[in-house]
Amino acid sequence: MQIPESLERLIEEFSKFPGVGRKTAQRLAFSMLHYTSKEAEQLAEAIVDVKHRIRHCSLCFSFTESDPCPICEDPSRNRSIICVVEQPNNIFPIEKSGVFRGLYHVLMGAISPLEGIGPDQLKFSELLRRLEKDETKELILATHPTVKGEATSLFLQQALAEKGLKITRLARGIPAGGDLEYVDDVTLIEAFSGRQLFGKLE
Amino acid sequence: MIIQSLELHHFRNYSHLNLDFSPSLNFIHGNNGYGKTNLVEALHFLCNLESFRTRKILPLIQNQQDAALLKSSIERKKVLYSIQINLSRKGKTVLLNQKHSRKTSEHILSFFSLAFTPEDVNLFRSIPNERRRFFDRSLSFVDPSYFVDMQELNQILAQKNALLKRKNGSQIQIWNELLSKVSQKIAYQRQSFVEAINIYLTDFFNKMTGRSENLNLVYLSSFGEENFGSEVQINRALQNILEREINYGYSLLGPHRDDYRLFLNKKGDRDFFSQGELRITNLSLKMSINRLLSERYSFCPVLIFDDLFSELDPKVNGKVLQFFTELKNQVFITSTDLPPNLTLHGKTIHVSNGQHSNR
Repeated sequence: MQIPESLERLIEEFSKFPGVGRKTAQRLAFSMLHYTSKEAEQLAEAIVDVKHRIRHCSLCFSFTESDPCPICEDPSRNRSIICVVEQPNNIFPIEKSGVFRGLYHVLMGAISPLEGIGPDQLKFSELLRRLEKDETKELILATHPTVKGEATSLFLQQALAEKGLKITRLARGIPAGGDLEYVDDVTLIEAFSGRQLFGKLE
Repeated sequence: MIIQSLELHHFRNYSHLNLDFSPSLNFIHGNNGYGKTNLVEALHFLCNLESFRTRKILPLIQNQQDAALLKSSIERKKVLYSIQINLSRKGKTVLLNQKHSRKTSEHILSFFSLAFTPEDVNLFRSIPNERRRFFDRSLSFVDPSYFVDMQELNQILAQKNALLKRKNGSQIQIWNELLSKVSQKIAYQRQSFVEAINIYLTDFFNKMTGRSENLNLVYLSSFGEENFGSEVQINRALQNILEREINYGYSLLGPHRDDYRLFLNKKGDRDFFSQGELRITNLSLKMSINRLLSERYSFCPVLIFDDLFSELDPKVNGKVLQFFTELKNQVFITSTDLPPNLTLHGKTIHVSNGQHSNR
């Protein structure tokens, strides 16, 4: 039996999602058939709602419903530190950990000449503008530990070297609670070269 | 490492083939054009995921067939692995123990064979590309971090070349800095590997030829001997050549431009080695790598000698054969006829036009 047209359309739409192949898309679409009309309408509404309400913060370019975003607006946050990330979704794990109470800046990508992405395609001039008026003292570079992420951090470091900022880069190494056995070679090598003095600190 | 069995379907001239091997010496003989080389080519492919004859997949598939299948049981450090490789127009897929392995790195860092073939005469005469490829493959096996560094290098070079192609020099500095860092690591590893090989090289050469000369492998960094040890000096060299690179539109300096040379006493390979010397020095090189692997890493790669005896001086043959009996490796030798006075501990396989028989 052929798949009815409306169902086929839904499958095609689902298979556009990242990480979703034809099979998974089919499963999702078939499961939709068990939804009540009300439930289906709620789902559709949620999708449209996200599209209407979520936008980028005009300061840090994170996802937000209100502009500026709650983090940029929060008076309790340390305004002297900015953590630079590649994508808006990189903020959520950092926020979840609660380790960082400063501000963010999303570059919206990483430098990659192959894809035609240079500083001009990133939110770099916006960062410069923020650094000029804000009371920033430290910049934490939290771009990905990939070649592109490394290049982006290196670029920022060089471009901002004269600004009198403290510039730091996230450490690399072994995950907490991890077993050495399961750590890949590259991470181990990084962890060894980035090892730190152990014992009482002065 | 021992290849216990081989199954082929539509690989080169083999429609179907099923073979078991001896863990020591395997002597494959038969007339020219009957498929001796094809057989050892399949073995090499199972270990290294590439042929020693071609970089293409299509020639490996039997005429008028859509796909070829290679299956094998390989023992490595007392563990038995099943390997299956499917070759088709779309490329290759590899199954290790019935599981799809997505990363070729996993495979080529576990299995390794060294092949000595008639084409090897050209290794030190042809373009440096082939030499780097050979040493890269060996070095990756010895040191997985080298493999990772090479991947990083290739990403950096691709990005840098994209800028150079657009004649854009403004962002080059960051890529040069990343390039300097990884280049220094790669140069160090290449130099150390060459030094380790040189410990054995002369000895092998003299043993196999009865001569007494000094055979030396030399690593030539594109940054120059005095620079490649220092990140700062590498970066400076990259800086100095930038203008030319922008003119050319691609990267002119880096580990992708390195080379290796052989020297017999003071005599350089490509201009002064005789055909015979090119062969025997190549054999010495591969045997040295084999020794290095077994002594330092307790690993015995599979050794493949394709058409060995037609390639060497008859005077050398006896010494080489003597030498094989002392090896711990699993060895595959192909030849048009059986050597007269070889006491075989292994297995003889007769090949005739895509068929075979055991003795």
